[in-house]
Amino acid sequence: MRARALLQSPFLADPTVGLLVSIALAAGIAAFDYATEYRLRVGVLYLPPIFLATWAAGRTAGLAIGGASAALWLATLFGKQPYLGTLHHLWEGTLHLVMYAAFVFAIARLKSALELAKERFVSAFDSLEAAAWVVDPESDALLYSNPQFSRTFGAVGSAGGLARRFGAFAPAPPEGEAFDTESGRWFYLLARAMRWLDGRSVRLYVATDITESKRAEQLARKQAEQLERTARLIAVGEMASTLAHELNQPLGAIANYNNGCIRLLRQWSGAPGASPAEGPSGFDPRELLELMEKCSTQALRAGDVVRRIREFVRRRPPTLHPENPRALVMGALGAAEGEMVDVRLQAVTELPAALPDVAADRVMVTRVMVNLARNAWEAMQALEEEERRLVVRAREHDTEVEFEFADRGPGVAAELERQLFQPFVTTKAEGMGLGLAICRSIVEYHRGELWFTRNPEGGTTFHFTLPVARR
Amino acid sequence: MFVVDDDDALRDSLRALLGSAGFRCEGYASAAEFLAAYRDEAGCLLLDVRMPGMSGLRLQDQLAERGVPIPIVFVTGHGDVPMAVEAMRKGAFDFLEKPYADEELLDRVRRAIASDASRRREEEERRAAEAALEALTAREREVLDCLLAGRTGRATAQQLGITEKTVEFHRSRIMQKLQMRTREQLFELCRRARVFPQ
Ligand SMILES: Nc1ncnc2c1ncn2[C@@H]1O[C@H](COP(=O)(O)OP(=O)(O)OP(=O)(O)O)[C@@H](O)[C@H]1O
Ligand SMILES: [Mg+2]
Repeated sequence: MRARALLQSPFLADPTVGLLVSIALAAGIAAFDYATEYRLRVGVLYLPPIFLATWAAGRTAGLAIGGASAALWLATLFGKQPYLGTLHHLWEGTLHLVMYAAFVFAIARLKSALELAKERFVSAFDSLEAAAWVVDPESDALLYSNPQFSRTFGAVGSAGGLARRFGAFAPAPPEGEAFDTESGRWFYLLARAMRWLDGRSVRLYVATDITESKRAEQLARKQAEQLERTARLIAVGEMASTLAHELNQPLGAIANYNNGCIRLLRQWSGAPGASPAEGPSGFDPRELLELMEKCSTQALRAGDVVRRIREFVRRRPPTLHPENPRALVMGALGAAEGEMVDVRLQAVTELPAALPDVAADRVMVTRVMVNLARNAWEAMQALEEEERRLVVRAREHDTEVEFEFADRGPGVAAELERQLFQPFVTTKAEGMGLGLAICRSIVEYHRGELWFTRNPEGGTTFHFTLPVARR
Repeated sequence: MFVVDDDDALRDSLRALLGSAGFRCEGYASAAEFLAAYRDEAGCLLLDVRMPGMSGLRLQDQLAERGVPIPIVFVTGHGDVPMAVEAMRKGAFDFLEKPYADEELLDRVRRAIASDASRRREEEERRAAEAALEALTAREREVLDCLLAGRTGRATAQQLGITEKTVEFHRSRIMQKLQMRTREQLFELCRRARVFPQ
């Protein structure tokens, strides 16, 4: 631990300081050696100053100090033990010189390797689009941060301060989505334990801004919910309105029959020679007339009740906006695919480049297209996977845009043809028979029309029109 | 008159009601059936807006395309009011919203039939007037045009390059051929035949 701290101390980082300190050290060792008359054999003591010089000021400085150290050592040896002989002195001197030089080369090599590693690390993270930083969990120190970091988080003093912004107490927050309370943005934090250059175990963080996708996700969810709600509302409305329509028809018939009777009775009782007295045993047509009139009033009243139900149900009018037909189709096909889990909708679109905007309630029209796409898909279940193909076309007539959904299914059964659009008419085990009824209601809200044709090459095409939006 | 409605009971009941009021009534279950059977008979058409197959609005378009001028009274359920408005815009005679009182229905039907009858009468008169005008020679038509434009005998003579006397002769021939006694009668005839001064 202390050695590591020493490595980062200023006289190891600053070349001049390092060199001066190492010269002083070497001189001190030489003086000590001289004073102790070479009895302690302190040659190895020169290694720290040599290391210091090499580390702080580079290989050349290291070699210089190494050479000087060897010379100092030899001078001391020669001065204090001159009787050893020249050859011996030379031999010892060379040995030390070589040893020091080897030491310098080794240290220089180590240092450049470390520097290279750091450089690699830094250059990799400096160019990163995401904010990246390295934290020492023990000391709370921010060891490294890339340029994107300060752009994203501004000036951050300590790792703990940043972690608190994410709502974490420890300086090393956990991996995962995190909300930065200060910038109000969402990040995905990626954390990795790693060994720092000096061997410490630290944590590397990469924070990717996911605010946009988070927002898009929320929006999509909200839209899907709205679509679902509208779909349900429309379905309920359609059921009630169908009930109303179905009741209205017989009610209307009753009223008509009744009124016809009343008329005939009036003519009869008003006719000459048809006086009440001549009726069978006290029968007075006027009495009958009175009862039938009451009957008519009640039929009318029932009709009114039904009408109020429909009024209630149809309270939500469509909100029409100019909508791009292509965007409508694309959005609807996406929604259809989303609704039909585990099928990939193979839809081909043939949409002219320049279509005018249509006046449409996007949510409602999406419903229509989703229903038609689903029906088409369900009609093609019996086909091979690659045979199933839905073609969506759109084309412009002067005041309308016509949309077509063409499938390759078996076509509509002949006996179904007349009631296809009525609610609760279905051939599917799971079907409600509401899809097409809803479609027709919506299209008619828009003052368009919905119908179908048989394709000459097999399959069915459903067509509907929407009015072009007025500019 | 004609009723087109896909609901059998409703159609039958309408026939009963209209029959009780003295209308002779033919019912059709679909727009296509009606189109196939209709031969420009007099009367009016009572039409349901909403029907499977060809809707009431499409039938209206088809009739307009074929130049069939029969007046149409639309019957609508409550939700179809916008469609009824659309139908009116396209020239329907009237529309009725369900539920309706029988008098409302009969009243509208009566007016529609009356309008059809008067249109037919006008048409008849026009054809008769046109036929009568056909009998005139080219020169006589020229003189007639000048007359309609209110030109004097002299001006007419000058324009056509003939004498005033000849103009007078043509004029009496015209009156004789068309069996008209007064100028006013002549003008009325021309109005019916849609002959107007240039
Ligand atoms: N593209 C098509 N090809 C052949 N038949 C079709 C097609 N679309 C609809 N049909 C027929 O029309 C019927 C009614 O369709 P509709 O969409 O109204 O109800 P559904 O699909 O049965 O049920 P859901 O309420 O779930 O939509 C279907 O049951 C089917 O028989
Ligand atoms: Mg369906």
